[in-house]
Amino acid sequence: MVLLDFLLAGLVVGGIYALISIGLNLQYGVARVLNLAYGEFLMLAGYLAFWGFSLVGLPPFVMILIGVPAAFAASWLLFVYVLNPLLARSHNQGKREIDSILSTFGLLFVLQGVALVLWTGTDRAYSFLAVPIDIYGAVIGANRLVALLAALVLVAAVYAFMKYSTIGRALRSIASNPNAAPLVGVDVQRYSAVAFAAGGALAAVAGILLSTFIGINPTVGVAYTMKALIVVVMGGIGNVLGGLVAGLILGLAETMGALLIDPGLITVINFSIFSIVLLWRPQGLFGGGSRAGVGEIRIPKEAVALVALAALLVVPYFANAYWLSLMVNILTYVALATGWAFFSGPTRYVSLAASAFFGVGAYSIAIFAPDYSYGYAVGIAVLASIVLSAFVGLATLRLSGMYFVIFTFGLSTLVGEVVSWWEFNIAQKAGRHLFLSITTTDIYYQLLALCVAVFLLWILRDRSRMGFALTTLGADETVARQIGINTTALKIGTFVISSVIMTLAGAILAPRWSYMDAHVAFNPNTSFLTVIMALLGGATSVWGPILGVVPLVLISDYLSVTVPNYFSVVLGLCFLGIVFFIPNGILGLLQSWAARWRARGFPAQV
Amino acid sequence: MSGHALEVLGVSRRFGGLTALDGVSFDVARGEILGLIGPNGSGKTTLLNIVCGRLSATRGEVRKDSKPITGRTPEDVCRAGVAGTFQLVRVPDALDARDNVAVAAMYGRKRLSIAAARAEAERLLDRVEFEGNLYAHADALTYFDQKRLELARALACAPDLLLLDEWLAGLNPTELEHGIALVRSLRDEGLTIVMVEHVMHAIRSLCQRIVVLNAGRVIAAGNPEEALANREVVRVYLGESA
Repeated sequence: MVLLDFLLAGLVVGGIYALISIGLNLQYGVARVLNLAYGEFLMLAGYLAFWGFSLVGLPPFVMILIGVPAAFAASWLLFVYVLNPLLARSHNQGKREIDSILSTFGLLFVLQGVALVLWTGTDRAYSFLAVPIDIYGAVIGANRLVALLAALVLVAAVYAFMKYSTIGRALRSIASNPNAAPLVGVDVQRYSAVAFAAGGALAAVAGILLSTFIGINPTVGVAYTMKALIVVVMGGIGNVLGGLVAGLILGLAETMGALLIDPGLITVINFSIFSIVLLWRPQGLFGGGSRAGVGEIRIPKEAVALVALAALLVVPYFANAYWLSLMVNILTYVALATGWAFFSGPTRYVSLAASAFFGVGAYSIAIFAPDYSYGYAVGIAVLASIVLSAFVGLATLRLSGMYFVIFTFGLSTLVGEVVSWWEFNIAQKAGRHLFLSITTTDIYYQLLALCVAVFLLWILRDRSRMGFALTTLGADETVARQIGINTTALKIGTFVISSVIMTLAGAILAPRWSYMDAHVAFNPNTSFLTVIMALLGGATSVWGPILGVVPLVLISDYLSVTVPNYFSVVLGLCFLGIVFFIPNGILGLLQSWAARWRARGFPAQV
Repeated sequence: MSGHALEVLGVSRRFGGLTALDGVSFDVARGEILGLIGPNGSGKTTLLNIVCGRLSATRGEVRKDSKPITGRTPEDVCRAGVAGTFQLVRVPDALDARDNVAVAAMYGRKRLSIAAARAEAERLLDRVEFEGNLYAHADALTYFDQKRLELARALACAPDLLLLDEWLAGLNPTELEHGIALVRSLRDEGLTIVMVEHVMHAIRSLCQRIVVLNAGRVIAAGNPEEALANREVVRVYLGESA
């Protein structure tokens, strides 16, 4: 019977989603860390089960006994020694959220990179309990059935634990009010660590259960982080039963979508559900709380900029092919990082979707430029980027920043997958060949023009009323609205401009590739590098991103030649280092040094 | 002009199981100062938040100059001519004192250019007797100056209805007299004012009428002397045996 088959399959997927969402819920709801590297714990546990089974012959159940305490301990150590000291220095909730997102985003790349170096990119699967079981005519693998039952039992256990045990009550009190909990004697630090570790342990269980019926590879985790996030938002922060229901709904919807529409469009289905939930639930679960004030940053002399521009204009006459291509690389990231900071700097909404917009630009050229003109293709790219960013903005920017981060986190994967699916199923191609008579020098000048335009736009914005509105919005959205600023329109407008800039960077760079497929155009490393560079430099000023781009392009250029395999590990570590040691960016660092130096000239009065 | 500046018609608001406001109705005449008083938790700030669009009403309607404003966004309500101050001072540190006021003149009802908005901000800061440095940031201002800055910011939106949420709270006796005179002079210029206040001296000397809330309901309304002498009001303020 087809219906029962489908129901069972959906319940298995949904049960796993419910389980992982509860772990993430504990980490976000109680420990207040939005852990973007959550799925990597699942991935590592999956590998553990695989190696345990294939090397030593230990069944997954034994591996749970080893993997769960290990994941608990590892997450506990991560929280107590890395995340908590970092987050403790954030003086408010908004900064804490941004820091937790950024540091776990770095961790994601480190863990993925380590897995890739150690175990390569191949899918690792083993055969365990792979016997069909007949349930009223429906057939399901015993391993899947066991996974479903285990997931349901665990969800029930966590629910009972949270509801009835003393520790569970303490955890719920922290989730509901972290400031009031200590007043009634709850040790917030300790229980937050417990919640974070328990979340990691649940991810490990899910990873081991999953490994009995799917192949594990280094990038398997991100998709599960994304789904867990969607389920948490749907079910409600801190709501175990809500998570169970939402997980099952998502699992069933996915299975039904794969059956009725196309398995290649599962991500699209997920995102459609997510968008509907966001559009339908008009306010964020944490409300729109205030964010930290941005320090005022003065603009350095324009003369320096003009001299630099003159020097940049003559570069192609002196540079050889290597240096010219390095300069093209630098200018691409200047455009991306400055475009990113144009929105994320003043508003403090962290967008993780630079690669989606860059890819839209690059891929539009690949599709349309060969048949039509280059200019026509650029026009389509810009239009597509406006539509996409306006939709993302409308769905998420009315709500608190968290939804925006989650949505953009998945957006690159989503757009990349849609393009892949289209190419494979509709256009019936693996990729596109590009033969355009556009030289590297042309690209260089176009990028330079784009960068100059972005800089002028930024300076113009800061000197216009819009700059004042953005500063007020970044500092206190409630105040901004009360004095008549339409903050939703302002955020969406700025986000669209920022996205178009990134799309143009992709469109201009596209002719450098002679062959392009979705994986090249929508490479998630683009998002990653853009964010690190902007943050390293300092995202609140127009001059900040450049200060981050130049050193990082040189470093990543060097790394990709010398240690190609450790590329993402080292970059991930750089990212973590930046979040830890240069929280206000190089520009902030320079300013605080300048302030200290000036202060020495005027001894403190007694 | 005749008619009401503000009409609150059967407004209720629930937060989950808690009923913060339960069918509250009253109106405010043009050019009057209405005092809104009541014990802590009686729903005064919730009501102001509904009037200025920060919260939606579960039931009921708010009208300004006979036009409904319930369900509109705070920025829309601001442009309809309602401005206010916050119960706890909220002055963003990212801008200096003058620019904090100027932004409101750029985006409120006036939509001035930057230069004109800054001139307007200087005029308004002067008007509210702001004593601090125009280029200082909030953390370097005295408490009274922060409050005056918030008032100037509200005025920069060019409202005809001003909502003051405990604007006089926390001032010392000298400052309080200055504050009272300032509020009175704003009324004399034609502004309609609704003030939530615990300082009874200010209520008695400024308000023609007061509305007393308790547990989300109006328990008395009228001129201050009568309303404050009401048995129910005395009971909720002083206790059962009175």
